[in-house]
Amino acid sequence: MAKKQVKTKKRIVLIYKPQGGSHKLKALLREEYFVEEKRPDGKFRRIPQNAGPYATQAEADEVARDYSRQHPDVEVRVVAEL
Amino acid sequence: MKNLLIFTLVMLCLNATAQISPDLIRKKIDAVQKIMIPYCKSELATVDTTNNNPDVRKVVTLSSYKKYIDQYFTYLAYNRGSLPTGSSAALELTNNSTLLNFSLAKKIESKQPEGPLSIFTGGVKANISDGISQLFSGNNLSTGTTVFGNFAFLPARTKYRKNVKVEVSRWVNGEKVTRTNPYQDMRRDRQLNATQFCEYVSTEYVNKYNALVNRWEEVKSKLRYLSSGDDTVQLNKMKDEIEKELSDAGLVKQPATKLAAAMKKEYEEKKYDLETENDAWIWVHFQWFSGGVTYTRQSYSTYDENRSLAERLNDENFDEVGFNITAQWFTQKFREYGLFGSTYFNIAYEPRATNNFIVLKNKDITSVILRSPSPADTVYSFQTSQKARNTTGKTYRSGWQHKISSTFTAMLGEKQQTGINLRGEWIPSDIVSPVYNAHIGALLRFVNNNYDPSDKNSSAKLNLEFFIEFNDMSDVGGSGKSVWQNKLIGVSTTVPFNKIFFK
Repeated sequence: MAKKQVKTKKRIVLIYKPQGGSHKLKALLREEYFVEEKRPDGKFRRIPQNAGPYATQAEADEVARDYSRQHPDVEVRVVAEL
Repeated sequence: MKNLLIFTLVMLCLNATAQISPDLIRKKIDAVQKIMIPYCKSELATVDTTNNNPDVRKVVTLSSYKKYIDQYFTYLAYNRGSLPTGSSAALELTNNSTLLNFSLAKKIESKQPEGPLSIFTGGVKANISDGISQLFSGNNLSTGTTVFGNFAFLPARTKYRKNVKVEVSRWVNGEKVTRTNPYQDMRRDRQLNATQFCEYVSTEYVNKYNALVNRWEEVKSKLRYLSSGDDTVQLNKMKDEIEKELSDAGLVKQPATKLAAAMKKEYEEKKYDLETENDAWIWVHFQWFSGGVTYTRQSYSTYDENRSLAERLNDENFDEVGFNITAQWFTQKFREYGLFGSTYFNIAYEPRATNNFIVLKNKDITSVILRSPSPADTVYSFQTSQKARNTTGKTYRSGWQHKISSTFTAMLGEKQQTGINLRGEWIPSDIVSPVYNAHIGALLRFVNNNYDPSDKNSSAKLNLEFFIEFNDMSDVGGSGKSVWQNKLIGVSTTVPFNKIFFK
């Protein structure tokens, strides 16, 4: 007589389940670029337009270049936050 | 006889050298290439200075970023006083006993790249006497023994977002400043590193080891068919040298996957250094959670003068269970320091089962017994002293105590040789009035002159904290003293200050 097969149920206690999938990872992994200007007190602050975040450095560079052209002798920089 | 056979076999195994198989090595070289060429292709695309794909991390590539976050978080999680302390064992000397502090830690990272990062720790703190610690007495934990479990948790969102800020370009009058741009330099060096590595993998590696295998076959053939004038000693030496070189490269014993993994590791370590150790970094910031559960078997003595003489001094036990959850923020600046170079801030909530006797202050109770002999010409007094909590007139009550506390620690300026440390605690409960504690400390960092007297530029530092502490400002413990009289002024050398800011 064939032995009766006993099916065992796998019990998993799920403590934490990351939400979303690869699309969320893609969104998380995107670097964000911002444009900042040097204020008279020596500190860098986002340009008054508060533009950004930009998805690529090229986009942010373009904004920084235009802004620095319009504001002579003001140091403007592009920063990445990741 | 049997032993002799085993001994011979063992000796044979020890003396055995792996057989060189040229075809196998050539296949292995091909297999390594098959793994490395797609990897190189992807790497070259990632580090290409013209790459503008928003879905690829370029400022710090994903592998380096993950390694950095992992290392930094582990360091933060293991060294902060309120957090798990990692796999460790320590003996702590207290006033009248030795304490064993033992804990095991496990870091868990989800296989999914978008998963969070967690560190779990569990352990025991127990008193040691004569080198032995009795953890249980009967079914209960021994008194003074604490069992704990902790976690530190970095959510996926904070793991990948806004942890690092890097300057990538600077502009003046519509022109890019290219004279000093650490990020641009890093990208150039990183691309060069990748190009050189991929060049080596695709050409040099293959040519070098294929040539070595060919040479080995040649020498082997010469040794087999010796002709007049062949120097067998020289040929054997040459053969051994080639075999050693092939063996050192792992081509004799190790599988291709392992060889490829080692190559990737070496390349990624260099890339990691280039990406993380450059002047473009402005700050690194972390927000994470930690928490845990503790169970302690508390023991204390009480004194109640309303009871009969024999029962006035009593020994009591209490099972103290506590939980804690803490939200933490940490920022370290690498430039543009401002007033605070590095800061740490936390808010913690700790519910704990307790009773109204534990919070009372321990006092010295002296018992004097007078004895006079008969006839009474002399009176003898016998004194015993014991620490106990005065519970006279108090009714025993147990319940939950909730501790809400906050800590702010900051090292000042660029040098970060001085800092401040502030802590405030509010402890409301159902059984006693709220307890308020405050701690104000000044942190100073000195060169450790005991580290190496010959080295005047010693990098070892000793961190001291000069502090003033106001414990139990509402005097729930019943000491009868004012807030100022109850103050504690002291110097501390303990963690968390020596490692947390990585100096």
